[in-house]
Amino acid sequence: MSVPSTNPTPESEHRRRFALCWTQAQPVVAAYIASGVRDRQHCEDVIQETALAIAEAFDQYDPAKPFVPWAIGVARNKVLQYYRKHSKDRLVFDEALLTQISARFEEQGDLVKQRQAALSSCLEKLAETAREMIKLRYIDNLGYDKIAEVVGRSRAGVANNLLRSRKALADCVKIETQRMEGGDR
Amino acid sequence: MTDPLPSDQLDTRIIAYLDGTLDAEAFTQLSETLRNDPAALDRFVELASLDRAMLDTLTHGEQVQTMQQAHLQQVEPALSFKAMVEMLARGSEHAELVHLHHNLKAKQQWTPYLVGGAIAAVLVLAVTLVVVFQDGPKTPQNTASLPEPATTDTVATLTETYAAMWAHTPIAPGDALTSGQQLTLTRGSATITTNDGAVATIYAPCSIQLIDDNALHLTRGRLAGRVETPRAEGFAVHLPSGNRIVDLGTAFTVAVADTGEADVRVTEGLVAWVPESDDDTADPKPTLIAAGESAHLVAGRPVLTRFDRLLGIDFQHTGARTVGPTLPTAGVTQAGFEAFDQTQFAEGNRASFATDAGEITLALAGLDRHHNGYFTRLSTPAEDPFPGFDLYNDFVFENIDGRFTLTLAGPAITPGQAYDLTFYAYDPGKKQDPSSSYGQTQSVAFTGIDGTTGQAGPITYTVGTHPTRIEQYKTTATFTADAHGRITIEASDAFEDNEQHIRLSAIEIARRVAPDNGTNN
Repeated sequence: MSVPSTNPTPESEHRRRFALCWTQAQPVVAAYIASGVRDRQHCEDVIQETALAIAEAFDQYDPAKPFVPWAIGVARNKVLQYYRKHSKDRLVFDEALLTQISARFEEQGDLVKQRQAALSSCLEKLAETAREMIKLRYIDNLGYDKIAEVVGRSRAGVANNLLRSRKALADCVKIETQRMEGGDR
Repeated sequence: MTDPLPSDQLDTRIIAYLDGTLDAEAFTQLSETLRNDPAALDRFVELASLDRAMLDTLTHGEQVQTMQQAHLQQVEPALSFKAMVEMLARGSEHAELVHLHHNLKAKQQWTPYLVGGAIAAVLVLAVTLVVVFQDGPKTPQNTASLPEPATTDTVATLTETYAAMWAHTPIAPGDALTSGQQLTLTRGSATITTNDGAVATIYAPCSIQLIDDNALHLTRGRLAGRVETPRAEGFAVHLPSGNRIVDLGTAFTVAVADTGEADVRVTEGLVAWVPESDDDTADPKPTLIAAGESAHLVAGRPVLTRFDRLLGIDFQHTGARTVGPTLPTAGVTQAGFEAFDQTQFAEGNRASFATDAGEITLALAGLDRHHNGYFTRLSTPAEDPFPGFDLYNDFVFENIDGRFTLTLAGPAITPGQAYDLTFYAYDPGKKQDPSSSYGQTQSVAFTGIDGTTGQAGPITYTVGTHPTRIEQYKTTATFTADAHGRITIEASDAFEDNEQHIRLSAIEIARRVAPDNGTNN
C-alpha cells in the first residue's frame, strides 16, 4: 500500500485548483446548459462535454479572472455545437439570444447557487399532492400526460398545478435568498 | 417580427418551454420577448436555474456536494491529470468508474465509497472527480456494525424496479452493484440478481448492503429471495442479530423490523437458519425451516411455527363480461380456491365457506361504489405462462378512497389465535381502454385493525405486466384474531401519492398448528 504524500506536487495543486473551480461553477454551468438544451439526456451529455473541454483547456484559464464566466463561455460554444448537430429541433435559441442568456447567467452566478441552497426547505413547504407531481416531473421525468394518468387528474389540471408549484417555489426561494443575503450583512 | 408576450403569460410560456410543451409559434414569441425585455430575461434565468436546481436537489445534488466538499480537502493524486482527462474523454461510463476504482484499489487502501449505482452523466463527472482525488485509507461510513465486505467487486446487478425511490443517488435496472454498497429503498420495490444467480426483491422501506457474489445484509425491511440454480444455492441473508439465513434452493421471505427482530417464511423448499458464532472453529448448529413454516427469530433463537391451510378465496366475477374461457358460475375456480362472486357487490357483501375447522364467513366493506365490479381476463393463453393465473384475473377493488376492509369470522376463527394470511393482488388492465390504468404502478398493503394485529405487504405491480410466477404478486404474514374471533384487515394504498387504486385478487387463510419453541433439532 502506498503512503499518501504530504507535500502537494505542482501537478496535484493544478488538479486541486481545477476540481475546486469546477465544483463551484458546476451548478451555474449546468443550469445554463439546461436552459438551452431541454432533452434531459442530451443536456447531461453537453454538460459532460463542457466539463471535459474545461478540463482540457484549464491551462489557458487566467486565475486572475473569475472562473464562472470563462466556464460559461465554454458551455455556450458546446450548446451551439449541439444546436448545429440538432438543427431539426424547432425550439432552439439563436446565437444572439443564447449569448444574452449566458451573460445573465454569468451575472447571476452566485444567485443561482443560493437558489439551489434555498430550494430544499421550499420544497418541503409544498402541499403533498403538489410535491408528488413535482417528483414525478423531475425524478421520474414524466410528461404531463403520464403524470395525469398516475395521479388520476386531467392533463390540464396537472399542467396548472405544476405551473403554480413552480411559481410558488420561485417566490419562496426569492424570499429565502433575500433572507440569506440579509443574514450575511 | 411577432408581438411581445403579455406579461401575465410570461411565466406560463417559460415553464411550458422548460417542460417541453411549447409549440413553435409560442416559442418564437417567447424568444422575441426575452430578446427585448431585460426583466423577462431575468425571470427566464430565475425559473430555468430553479428548474435545474430542482432536478439536482430531488435526485442527487446534496449528496454529491457533500462528498465533493469532504474529499476535496484531502487531495492526493491517484492518477495523472492527463489520465483523468483521458478518462473523461472516454465518457466515464459507470463501468469505467468501477474499473478505475478497481485499479486504484490495487494500488491503495481504497474504500467502497462511491462506486455503484447509475449516476446521471453530470454526476458521473462530479463523482469521477471525487474518485480521482480520493486517497488514502478511510473508514466506510455507516457500516461499522455490518460485516466487512470481502472485496469491492461487482457482486450483483439491479435487474428490475417498480416505482422505486432511493434515499441515495438513484440507481436503475442494469446497474452493477458492488461489494459494500448500501441500498436504501424508500418507495416501491427493486429486484437484484447476485452474481451467483440468486434473485432478491426488496420492498420499501428497506435497507440492504451487498457483501459478496451470493450474500447480502438485510438491515431493515422485507426481502423475498429465490434460488433456482444450483450455483445460487447457499445464498445468504445476514440479519442484524448476526444470524444469517442460508437458502438451500427455495423461495422465502424475510422481514426485519426496526427492533432488529426478524421473521422468515418459507414458501418452497428449505432454508437454514445459522446462528451467530463468535468462534470460527465452532460448528454453529443450523435450524432448518421447511416450506409452510415460519420462524420468528428472537434473541438468537428461532421460534418455529407451522401453518395448515384452511381456505383459499378467489375473487371472481361470474357475470357476462368474461373475455376468455367461461368460468364456472360457482364453486371451485381452480384447485384449492373457491370463488367469491363479485356480481353481488354491495356494502356488507358476505359469503360463507366450509373448511376443515368449521365455517368461515368473509365480509367486505368500503368497496368502490361507483362500479358494479370489474372483470378482466388475460386475453390469450399465450399470456398465461404460470399455472393458476385465474387467481390474478379478477379482483375486488377500490378506486376512490384508497382503502377497504375485509373481515373473516365464524367458528373456524378462534379468538387470539394466529393465522397466516396470503394476499394476491394484480390488475391485468386493458391496453385498449384509454381510461384504464394500464401501465401504472400500483401498490397495496394489508393491516390488522379493530383488535386484529398483523401487517402484510405491500404488493407492488404494474397494470398489464402479467406475473410470470404465481408468487410474484402475493404476500404472506401472520395476523392474530381479536377477542371476538374476528380478523379484520384494512387494505390500503401503500404509496404516498394520488394513485389510490387498490386491488385484491385472492386470499388464503392458514391457521397455526403445533407451535414449536425452536427445539426442532
